[in-house]
Amino acid sequence: MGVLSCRSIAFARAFWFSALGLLAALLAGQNAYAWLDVDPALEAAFVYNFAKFTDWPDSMASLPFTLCVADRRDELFAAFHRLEGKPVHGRELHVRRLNSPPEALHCHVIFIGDGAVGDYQHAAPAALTVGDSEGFAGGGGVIGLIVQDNRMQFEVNLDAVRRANLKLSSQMLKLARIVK
Amino acid sequence: MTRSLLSWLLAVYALALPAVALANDEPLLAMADKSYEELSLEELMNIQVTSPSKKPQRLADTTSAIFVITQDDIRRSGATSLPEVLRMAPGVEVARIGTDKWAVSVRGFSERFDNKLLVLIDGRSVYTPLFSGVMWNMQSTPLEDIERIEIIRGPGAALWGANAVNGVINIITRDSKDTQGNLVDAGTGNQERGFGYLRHGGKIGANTTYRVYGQAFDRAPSQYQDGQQANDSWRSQQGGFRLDWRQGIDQVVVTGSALHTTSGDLVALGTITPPYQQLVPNIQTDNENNLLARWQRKLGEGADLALQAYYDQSAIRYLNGAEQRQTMDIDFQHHLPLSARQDLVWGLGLRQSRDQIDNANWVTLNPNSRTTNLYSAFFQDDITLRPERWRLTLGSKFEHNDYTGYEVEPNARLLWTPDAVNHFWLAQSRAVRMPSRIDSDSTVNQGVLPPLSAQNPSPLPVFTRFTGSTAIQSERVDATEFGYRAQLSQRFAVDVAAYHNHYTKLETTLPGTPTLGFCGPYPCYVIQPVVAGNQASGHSSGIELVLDWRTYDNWRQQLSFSHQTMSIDNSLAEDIAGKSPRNIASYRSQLDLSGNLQLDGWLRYVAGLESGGVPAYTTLDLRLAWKPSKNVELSLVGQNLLQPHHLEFVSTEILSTPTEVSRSVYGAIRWEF
Repeated sequence: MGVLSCRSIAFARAFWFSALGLLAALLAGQNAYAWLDVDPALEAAFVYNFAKFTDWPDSMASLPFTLCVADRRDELFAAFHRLEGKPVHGRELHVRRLNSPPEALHCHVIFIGDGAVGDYQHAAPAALTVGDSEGFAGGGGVIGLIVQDNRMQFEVNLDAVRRANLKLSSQMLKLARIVK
Repeated sequence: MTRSLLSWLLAVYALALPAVALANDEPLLAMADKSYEELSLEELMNIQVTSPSKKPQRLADTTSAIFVITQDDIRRSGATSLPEVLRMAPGVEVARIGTDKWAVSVRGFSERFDNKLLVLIDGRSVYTPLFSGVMWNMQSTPLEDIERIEIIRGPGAALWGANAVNGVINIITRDSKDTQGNLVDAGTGNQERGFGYLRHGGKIGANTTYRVYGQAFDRAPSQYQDGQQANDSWRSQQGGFRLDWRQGIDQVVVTGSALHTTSGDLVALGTITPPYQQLVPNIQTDNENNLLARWQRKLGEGADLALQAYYDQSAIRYLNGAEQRQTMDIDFQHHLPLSARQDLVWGLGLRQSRDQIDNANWVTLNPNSRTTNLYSAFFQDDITLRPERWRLTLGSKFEHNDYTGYEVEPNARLLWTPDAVNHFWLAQSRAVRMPSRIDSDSTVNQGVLPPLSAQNPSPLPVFTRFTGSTAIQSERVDATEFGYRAQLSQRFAVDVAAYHNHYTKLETTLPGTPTLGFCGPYPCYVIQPVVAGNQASGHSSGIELVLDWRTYDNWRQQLSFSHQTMSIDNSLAEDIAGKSPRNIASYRSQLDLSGNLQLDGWLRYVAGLESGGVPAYTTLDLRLAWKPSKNVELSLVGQNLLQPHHLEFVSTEILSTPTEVSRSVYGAIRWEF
């Protein structure tokens, strides 16, 4: 095996260190969320379909149907906001933005981009929790949006479905990737 | 059925296809304002989300001529080698010139070692700096492990680097989380004497998945035009792994493989004594090992960071010459949205390649050991001029190499989306092809002109010897491209690309001062050097079309067609234009019959080549696959069925005796457990 010359090693080292230095500079004070990077309108459309094909327990029937968004991405909230007024389960869909878990009390669907899934599920146990962060469904959320094979798919955590007392349509489950 | 009748039928079919396809389908044009919320879950799950421009983007919005081959396309093609899979893409010329040899190129310049194409596997460049070409006999990445192949036609230099003059082939392997469990794939046939692939995928803890695999195959030799068996049986053994680790915002991928392969050919070498040519059987053995690691981190608001490093080591033996090479590469890339309307990707890279070459009597390199460094930096800025309508992309790559110094490769691209269905794009780019070791430092004996012949009236044999020159410059292309892409209905899509390339400083050779060679005290031969230079320029233009039609849920058809013309203005340049076919057509049909049966067909037409007098050919591959149970698939594949054998290309780069492609059949079993 050949040995790299001293000069070439020096070059490589210099480059490595400057790259690392740059990295360190860039990483300082950056946000740390591994969201999906796809068209927000596409994500909103998926969530709308989830809402249409899920059945909630009767206790939620009297409440206005609310989709709550706990996510700092403005573009994403704007996409969800465009769903306002659309028909779902014979009623109109309402969209609300959340700033903290306790506000989630009467939400049917909670899209969680910021914050711990557990906190929201504690505040609203019967809510359908959806997210697009890495390992959302595996970590306890009901439905996680993922990208696979260049297309958007979704993972369903059956344990979480049961705990929230939800019924997902068989058509929807057929298309899902079951995580638990 | 005659050849011309078949091509006429295909042409008529291609023209009629859109009308027939749209007749029963609601055109998306009428649903232009239909938003995502009105689509069903199945429809939403069919939308392509990422593209190759180094960040997530809808495929339809890509401002390049791009064609994607998926794992499903690969499996249903019945192909057993990477170059064969590439035939389904428009603009790609693939000619098989032996069991283990191919001439693969994009938009012209077809030859065994085409140097205007960049091929990457998981970000690792696989062209050799020795002659800037790809040794396809060493690219045996198991087809089972490929997630997709992105073929980007046109200069991709701004993003991908030197040598991406006419195209980039980006091969992406599957994430190990998608290849869990065990898999055995084995088969045998008349050409594929035997092949086997074994893979195991598992998890380590909650955050890590991996796979390890072993692959071996033995392929029968091809035959010469006179029917004699050639010397090119091909044996290969390869093992490798991939590991994926994820936690929160970080993702790390590690891949590695080790390859050992042997094959052969028959090379014509010049001799001093009559008949002045000797056919030398050559056995080539190659070993190659590589290790690659990539770390990606997602930052907030759509930004991300990636750092990649790889090490590649190879040892090649060819006709009493040998090369040992070690390559190290580090790449850094940062993607950040600058504002609501601007999105920037930029990066830095360093590649160092060191070689030790044993000179042989027909090729020498001076120096015979060299370390070359390639420094690069690039940026690409996506500017939204008007949301959902106009987008401008400006970018450039800056490189410094040891042969020609600094090179700048800028490009500008424009995207127009008048509605949700139609996409138009326009691009102007420049790319360069860096010199290789052979261009700069070598002498290669090319052949002998016998004495007292038409080309050589002298009484002594004349050896023509290619002589590299350190004054060699980079070849250059300035390309203007235009494209249109549309999902015309739920089931029918069309993609058209047209281009005009202006080439300058193409490599040529000029006769130098001949020298006399002695046998003892007597002169017995003449050496005529032909010195490398950059005297040629030329133009090429072409158009590429893809029609994709899911006729029924269980029947998909795809037609791809390419037309190109080229003219090079210097007769001293090699016969470049004559080596590329004027027209290529490929028609694929994938039919899911009931009872777990798949019937796939692939019909191909390639026009004739002036160089070597290769006639046009039409050929057909058929595949029948049966799944008796969920985990087992049996398949029967016939390839090149329309003739017992046919010639595809005559290479003049190394004077190997041309061989033909034979009709072949193989059966395979695929078992997951």
